[in-house]
Amino acid sequence: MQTIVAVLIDGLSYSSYLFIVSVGLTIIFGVMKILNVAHGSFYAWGAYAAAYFIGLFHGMGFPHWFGFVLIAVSAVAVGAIIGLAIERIILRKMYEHEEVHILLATFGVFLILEDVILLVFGVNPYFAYQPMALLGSVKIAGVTRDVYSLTLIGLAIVIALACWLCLARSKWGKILKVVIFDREIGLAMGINVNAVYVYTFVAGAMLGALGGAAIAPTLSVSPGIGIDVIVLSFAVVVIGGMGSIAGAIIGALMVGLLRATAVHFVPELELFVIFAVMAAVLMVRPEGLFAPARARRI
Amino acid sequence: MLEVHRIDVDIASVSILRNAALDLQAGQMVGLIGRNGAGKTTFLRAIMGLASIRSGQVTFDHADITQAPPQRRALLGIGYMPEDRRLVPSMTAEDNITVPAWSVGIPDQEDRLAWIYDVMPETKVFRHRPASSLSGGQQKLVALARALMAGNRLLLLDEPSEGVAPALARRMSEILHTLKDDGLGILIAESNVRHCADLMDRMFAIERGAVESRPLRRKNGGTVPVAGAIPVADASPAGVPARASGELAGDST
Amino acid sequence: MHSMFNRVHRLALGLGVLATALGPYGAVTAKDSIDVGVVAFLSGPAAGPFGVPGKNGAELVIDAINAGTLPAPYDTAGFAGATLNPIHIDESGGNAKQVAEYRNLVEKQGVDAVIGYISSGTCLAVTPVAEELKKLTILSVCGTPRIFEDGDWTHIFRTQAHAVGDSIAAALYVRDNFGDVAGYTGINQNYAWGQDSWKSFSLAMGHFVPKAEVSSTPQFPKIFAGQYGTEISTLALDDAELVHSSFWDGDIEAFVVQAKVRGFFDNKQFLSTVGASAIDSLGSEFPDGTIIGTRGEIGILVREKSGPLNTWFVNAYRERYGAWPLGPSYQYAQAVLALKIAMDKAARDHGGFPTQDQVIAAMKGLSFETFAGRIELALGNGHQAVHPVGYGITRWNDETGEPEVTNITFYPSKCIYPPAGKPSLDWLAEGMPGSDC
Repeated sequence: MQTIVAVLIDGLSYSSYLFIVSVGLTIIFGVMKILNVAHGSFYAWGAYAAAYFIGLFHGMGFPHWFGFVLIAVSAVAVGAIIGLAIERIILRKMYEHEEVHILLATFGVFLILEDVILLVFGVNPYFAYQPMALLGSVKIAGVTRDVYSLTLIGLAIVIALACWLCLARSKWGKILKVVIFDREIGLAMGINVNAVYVYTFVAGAMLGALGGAAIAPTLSVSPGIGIDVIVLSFAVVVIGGMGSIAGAIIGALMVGLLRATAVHFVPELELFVIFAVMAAVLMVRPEGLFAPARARRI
Repeated sequence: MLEVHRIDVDIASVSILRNAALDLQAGQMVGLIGRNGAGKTTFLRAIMGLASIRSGQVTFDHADITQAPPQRRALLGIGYMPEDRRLVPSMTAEDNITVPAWSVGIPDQEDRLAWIYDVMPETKVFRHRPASSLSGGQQKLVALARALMAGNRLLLLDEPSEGVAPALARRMSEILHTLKDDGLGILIAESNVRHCADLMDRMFAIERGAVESRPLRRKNGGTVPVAGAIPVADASPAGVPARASGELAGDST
Repeated sequence: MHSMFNRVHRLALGLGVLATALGPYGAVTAKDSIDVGVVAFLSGPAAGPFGVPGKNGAELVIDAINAGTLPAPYDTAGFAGATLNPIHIDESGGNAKQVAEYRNLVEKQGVDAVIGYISSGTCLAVTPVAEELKKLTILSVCGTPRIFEDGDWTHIFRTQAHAVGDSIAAALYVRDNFGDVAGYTGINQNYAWGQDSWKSFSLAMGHFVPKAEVSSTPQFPKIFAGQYGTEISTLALDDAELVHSSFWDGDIEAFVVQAKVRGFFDNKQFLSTVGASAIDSLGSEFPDGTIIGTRGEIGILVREKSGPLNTWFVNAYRERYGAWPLGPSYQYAQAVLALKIAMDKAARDHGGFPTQDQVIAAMKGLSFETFAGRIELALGNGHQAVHPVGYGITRWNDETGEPEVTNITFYPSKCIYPPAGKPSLDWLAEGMPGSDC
């Protein structure tokens, strides 16, 4: 029983991590059909910005709770600055190109931003554990948990709800649906698709940066942290269906819970789980579990 | 109202339209007739701003809109109905119809919707059904209604009667007639002139990217003189030989 | 046409003769300078804790030797009198890239030797190429025993002992200080390094602390996974009290940060074989009471060790880089030192600037004093180093505001390494015959 509760909480905790780091990727893909490798950079820059500012302000004597403000500010600032720059300078000129060309461009952006991190922050790790230390720990079913990780489950739920409200319950969401379905028909119906793309890319960038900024307190923020996130988030998004937020939730939950089960009972399988789930899903549904309708003519 | 001055349009560096020209007045219904691949769809897309114009000019109410983005054209009252309807399947008929109102920010969208349901009462019946559950003909009507939401001045219709049962085609003609009488300009691209020839005020032929005016042939066999048409010589670039109008008229019957 | 061909032909011939005359070892004349490739991670997660401290250590000692300012017995200037020009190369980018970089160093840049390599993967990839190109190569950090246990190399040396000794010394330290431990588990990265470390540690534990029960669910997260919540829960639920880890780079730091807030270290005895870089980077966040190793007489374990060479190294390093020298700083410096000693010896033995073969002969089986200990190239036919390996207990010193390691024990090399020619895992499995502890 104790182990089952531990598996559930560990699984939910890891699922929320997976969802937080992949939601931005799936949103950008869903609307813009861009597989954004630079997503890893948003994550890394979000993490670096948060860790840098938390360290800086903590050193200046600000209280620990101020770290939460800095996490949010870092995510918004990184997403707005880097997201806007990439969209304006590079992607804007490439929308007419093939998807694979855009993918390569985002990969190039990723490599450049990785090197810029080295130039700006150097090779030594940054730590921002103050927010995590502030929230402390709680004992659940015999296992001591850090409250910060449990808070991340809450953050994942908030992000999921906000996305759902925006997409399913607002005019904005309906306009997005049209652009997702068919960019040209969106244009013909008077939708300013360029503006939609800017907002979407910046929102996706902010979510990617929020992932990094929110995870930063649990990490050693060091060079290369964005690389793994690309692989993980890509796997989650492929399992759930590229471009589907519901799919990202289900994909993250499947991988998170199965992985927690594996780690507790057969740890050798841990590495294998995520790709086993991916392979199994792709065999049954090559488009992923919740792939939104592509521009299929009805 | 609409004037297209000798536009050239390329798609992926292939020349699709060459010196194509056409004009249309409010309350007129004009046919653009040509075979598949002649450039009809590209011509409509160029007017809507979906295909970029390399040279030439498009004016609407004497304002140059050649480089205006599509949403600006929608705001001016130009509506577009693509040949393959392209309704968003997961959205209801009414949501599909209202898309242009949300995006362009039409102030009197309630009135506009009421007017559309007035012209096409049948769409009101299935307005809450998802587009995916509608028949092909019903979807055609919804796509027309959606074009009307923004296009209260000029409608660009790509093959409105293609693949449609005769009864619905007649109904479509009726609706278009009502709209024309309301003062809308309507440009219809058709590969087959039969369904709507009676309604047309003027016709233009399009072949291999070049547009020229042609005489109307009514079902009773009479030929209506083409009023105010762009002279053939004007519409044809030097490199493309102008063809006699009569030559084309022959293959439409 | 004909005369032009002749001109080109003559020119080519002339260049050929010139190239032969200027070839690096073509003529045994004194050289003013030698070029040496120095390879270390300069980007990626291993750059901070390993690559850059390693590069700094090499740079510091190269500059001192060039200037003749190293303390005795290494106070002669130069490498057989020559100044060493380091060519720094980034080790990241994968094995294929490193092989290409190596070829480039030797074939295009014409270096006289190559020093470096941190990852066992790169070492295994580069070794056969170095042998093929016949270029003196001194591996400085990587730990896989396979280099000299699976191969016999003429041009390759390693001044760092292989990793099996780290595991045996860890088990010995547990026997001597935590002998009544009832059970143990581990968290190691899921690739060769982590798996081999766990395997040799559990074999050694079976030998030295046979009563301790091994857990059925040791953890093997992916390298650079970053999130260890589930693993921490599993380890916490495990009855085993001792937790072994060969985590390095940012993973050790992330694990410590995540585990500490959950009170993990209050209930578990943590043993980190190579995580010493985290002690300095995390400062007071690093848990007190951790068993820590540094893979030799290097790093934080010898920080306080007196002696002219070590005092000079620690002080000069701190002055120049504003940080304590880490294990890799020593490891790279030791590789540079080995090159100097061998070149000087070969020059003395043969009179005049030595050829590469003379340097290799001089380096073979070398035993030399390092900054804080002694290295013997005793294995791999005189190419593979052995040296003592020690462990201690971490403690944050509030008064100095510095971390410290207490209760340090070093285990001698004849105790923790197999005799020459014996594969170390077989030797461990057979119960370490001939080991002298």
